[in-house]
Amino acid sequence: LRRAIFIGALAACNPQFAQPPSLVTEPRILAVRGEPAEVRPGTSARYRLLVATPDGTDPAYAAQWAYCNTPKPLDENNIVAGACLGSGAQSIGDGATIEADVPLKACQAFGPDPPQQMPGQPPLRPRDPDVSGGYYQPVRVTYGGETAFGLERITCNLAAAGAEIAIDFAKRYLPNQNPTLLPLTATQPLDGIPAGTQVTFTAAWTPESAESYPVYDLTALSLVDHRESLRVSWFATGGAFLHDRTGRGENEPDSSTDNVWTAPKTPGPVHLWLVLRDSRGGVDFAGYDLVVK
Amino acid sequence: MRLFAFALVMLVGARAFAQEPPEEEAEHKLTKPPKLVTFVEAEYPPERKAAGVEAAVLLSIEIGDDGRVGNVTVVQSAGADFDAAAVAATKKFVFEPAEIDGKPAPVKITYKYAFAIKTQIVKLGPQVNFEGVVLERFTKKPFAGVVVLIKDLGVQALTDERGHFQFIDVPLGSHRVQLSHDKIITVATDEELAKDKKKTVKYFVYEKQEGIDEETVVRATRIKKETVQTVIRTEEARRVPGTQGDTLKVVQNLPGVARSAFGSGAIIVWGSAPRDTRVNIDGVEVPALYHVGGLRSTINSDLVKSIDLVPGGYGAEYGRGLGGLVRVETRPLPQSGVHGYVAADVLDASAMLTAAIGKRFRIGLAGRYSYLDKLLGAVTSQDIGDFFPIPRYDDYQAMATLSLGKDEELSAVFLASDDHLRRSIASADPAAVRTENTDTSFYRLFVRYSRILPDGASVVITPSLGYDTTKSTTKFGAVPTLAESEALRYGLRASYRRRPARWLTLSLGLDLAGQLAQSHRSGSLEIPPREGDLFVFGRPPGDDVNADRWTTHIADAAPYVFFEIALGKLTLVPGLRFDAFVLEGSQSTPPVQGTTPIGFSHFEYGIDPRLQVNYRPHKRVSISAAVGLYHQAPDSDELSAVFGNPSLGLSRALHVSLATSVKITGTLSCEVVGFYKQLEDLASRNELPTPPLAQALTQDGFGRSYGGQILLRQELWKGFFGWITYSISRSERRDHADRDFRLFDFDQTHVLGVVASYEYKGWAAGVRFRYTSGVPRTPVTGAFYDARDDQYQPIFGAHNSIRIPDFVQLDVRLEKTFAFRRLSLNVFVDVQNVTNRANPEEIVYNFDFTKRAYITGLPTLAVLGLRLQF
Repeated sequence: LRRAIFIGALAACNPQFAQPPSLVTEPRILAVRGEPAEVRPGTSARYRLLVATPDGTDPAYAAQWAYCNTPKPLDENNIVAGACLGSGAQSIGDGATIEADVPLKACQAFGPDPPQQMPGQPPLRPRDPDVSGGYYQPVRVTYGGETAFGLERITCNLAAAGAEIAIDFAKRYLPNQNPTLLPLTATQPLDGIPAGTQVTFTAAWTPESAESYPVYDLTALSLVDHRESLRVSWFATGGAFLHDRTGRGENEPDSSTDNVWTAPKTPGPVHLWLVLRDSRGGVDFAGYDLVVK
Repeated sequence: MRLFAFALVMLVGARAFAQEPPEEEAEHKLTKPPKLVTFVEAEYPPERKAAGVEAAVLLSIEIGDDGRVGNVTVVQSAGADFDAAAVAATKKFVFEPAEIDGKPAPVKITYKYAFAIKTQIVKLGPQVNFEGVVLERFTKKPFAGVVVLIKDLGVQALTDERGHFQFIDVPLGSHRVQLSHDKIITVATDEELAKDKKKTVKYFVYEKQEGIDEETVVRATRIKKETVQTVIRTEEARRVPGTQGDTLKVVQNLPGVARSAFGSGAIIVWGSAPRDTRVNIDGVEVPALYHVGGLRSTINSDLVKSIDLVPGGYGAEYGRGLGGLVRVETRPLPQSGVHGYVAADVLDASAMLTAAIGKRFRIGLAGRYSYLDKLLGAVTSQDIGDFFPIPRYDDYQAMATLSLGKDEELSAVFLASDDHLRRSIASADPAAVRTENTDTSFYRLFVRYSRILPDGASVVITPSLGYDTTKSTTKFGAVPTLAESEALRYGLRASYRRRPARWLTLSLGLDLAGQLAQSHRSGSLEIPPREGDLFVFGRPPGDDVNADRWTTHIADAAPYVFFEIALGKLTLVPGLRFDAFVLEGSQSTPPVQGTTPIGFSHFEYGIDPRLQVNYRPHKRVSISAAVGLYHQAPDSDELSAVFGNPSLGLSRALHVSLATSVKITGTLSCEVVGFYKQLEDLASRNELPTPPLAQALTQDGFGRSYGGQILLRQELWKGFFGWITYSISRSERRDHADRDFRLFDFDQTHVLGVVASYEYKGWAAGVRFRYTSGVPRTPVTGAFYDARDDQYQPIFGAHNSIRIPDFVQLDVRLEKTFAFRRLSLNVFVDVQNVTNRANPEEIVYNFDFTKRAYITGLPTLAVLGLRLQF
């Protein structure tokens, strides 16, 4: 009885939602890819949008793009300031893809170089980096009533580091590159998957996708080497994945990851997307059309 | 018995009584009335006196110009015997003659001769002028052998088999009377003896429970010393469902205490943040009353004599906190023999042993160790920690007491408490792997010297040392957060209390405390969260990270003084406390590699006047009020140049409360309290997009809370006890001057609690019903997609503008006590949530925040326990 009580207690605590993130039932933005994945402020970057619909990939010609220009206050805990959803962003154009120069002052607004202090006023606080030591220019894209933010990694100076470490960092640090997905492999042919059966998909990437990079450790006040982790987000218009996302951590050398997909019980076409992300903001994606028989 | 006369002289005419006055004589004036100079007592008629008959005879007396009495006639008779006696006596009266126009003259007056029987006081020797009976509080049975001591006179009496005692010829005035016996709690009271009146009293005393299980009292809403207190006996507290026999957990059911979040154990009183409420054990501050998760208290219940919960408005003796005060007093160890207990339930096991070595030295040891995590691991096939973090805790205590002489004692107390929390959630997604490890501990060692001086004054000196450690590491995917600190604490509390006059008691003292802390923090700024943070349960923290390693020294010397002024039915307790803080730290700006950090040091002070007033218009009615200022220094983790602000100063609070209590019967009482708190200069996160360096926190916050509460309580009576509490309150915060007020994160509008328990022939059954409003939460009104991390981010609506649904739960408890010769065995089963109601505890959303659901609390859960006592 006691065992039943405890197990029941656990089951009672956590609600389950019917629809997993991997199931596409309506138009959704799945990814924003910046090319290159990391730029210096003032240089150009090209942005591309991946929009999935139940009928397949949407070219998203009418997407509207804007650069956020408002830093996030410390009392907000989203990835961008709430103002970026409104007037705190500046339009950079429309279209499925867009190319724009990253603002010159991006490292002041979103990086470690705060605006110069006013006379008689205390110096201002630099932005905090993410865990990979990076700073990001938020890129807002609006399409079909949905808003998404891509984060374009920007190359800035090191905060709180001495000259020697800064020089060493500049020598060793290479701007991030987008990872590269390899073709999807599966235990069943993609154009003939029996209805209701389980298929194991393998998403793989090029070995150079998992880059190594130095991070200025703010506790040790020294440079520490890291290696990118890679995550694959799985999306489909039907069936069910065992996991919504899979991947490899920093210490896992494998360059592929598996997921099990249960095909729907009714035959028909199913659209599948993979989005590969590295831990410094790099993105790659691919789409496949499956046939369930 | 002696006859006395009562005379009323009535001058009825200033005229000569021998003849009719001529017309011209009518203008003469009486210039001096006659004055009786020789009174002769009449002989009281013996039969009338024997029969107790009293009477008065109205006479007309003629007085000559020489003052001698002439003719006497009866105007109003009281009977022949009375008349004759009165006339005979009156004729022997001698007067100073009256004067008319300045010359002696005869007059006639009316005189009332009264016959009254007077009680004659005969001195027969020493008299009993103070006596009474001593009865057990609940059974009302006489208590024999109780030592009744008049402390200021040094005389004592023993109660007989009828519980009766008496004293002879006790001097008039106020006396301190103390009642003591091995089986009762020693109590003292003041008695006033008046002239020619015998004082007869009836004392009700609490009988101690068997063995070492002495009295523990839990008091609530003690806004002043004389206010009627809610005192809950150990016997009651242990029987409250949901406490699992832990008497200190009954505090969570008292009025003014909001329900803490599931598994938190935080104490939220009168709209104050848990971190603003101070917990003191014998005047020494400890970080927490309960272990992580709130499953147990951090000190063994059997070592506790009393616990006071003061939600606000407390006196000048304590400070450094904006919220409430929890004051725990350790109990004296048993004066003889060896005692102890062992206990176990599904949560933990505990034991205690005490021994008296000789007549002057006593020692006690206690310990507790939890095994719930291991037990669940054994009975479930899954790692339960993946879903629900099970805390692991232990605590140990040691006490020693040395009696140095009459009214002089030295005691040493060591307290230790450890908590560990482990949680890990594996995932195929590297960004979804979560680990959470928290280790906290505290140690306290203090020595307490107490002495009652010959003049009745008392001195208590308590030096203390402590060591606190906290280490919390969490990892959400690749985002690690570390917060660790070590703090050496020191303190000295010294107090002197004297009663210079019957109506005045003076207390003054010094409350010195300091902590030297080493802190290290790295990771997200959002962890640990602060009150008022916007959040969604289960959402990963932001991945903006930073790090800091710093030291702080926060010291406070606080002299204080307060007076207890008794003015009849009115009692005033004015007090003043002066807190002088020194805040020092190693870094005034964030660390930069290759540079030498510059420290900071600043002095802050707070002057805190306090006043408590109590008025008792009737012996069963008490009206009291309290008002006071309170100051609180920032925590050491708020003085970080990266995560906080080294220049933070003191926060301030104003407490105001008004209470009325009525004792309906000897054991049934009702208390109503209203309160208001205002909080200023609260630390909150900086709202600027680009804040100044080292100012992640600012001191712009403002808060207020107000409300009322009622307690209807039946104390233990014929095996039954119970209470009903209801609180209505509102607590709000404004983080910055340009913001609107929002609800406090822990605000609960309605809190209703009902506790009842009945014992019959060794069996006891109890129920506890709780209803509380849900705490506020900020709704998610939309979302946008974070394409870098493949997750939706919430768009929040108005801050704390919705609530989690109400909480309703019914708990029951059944226990049986088996008494053996020198042992007693208690077996209990404590069943929580017997109706298996799915109480919402938190709001969760689906992946894109389009659907909302609730995490619910535990379903029906039974805890079985045993306790063997000797």
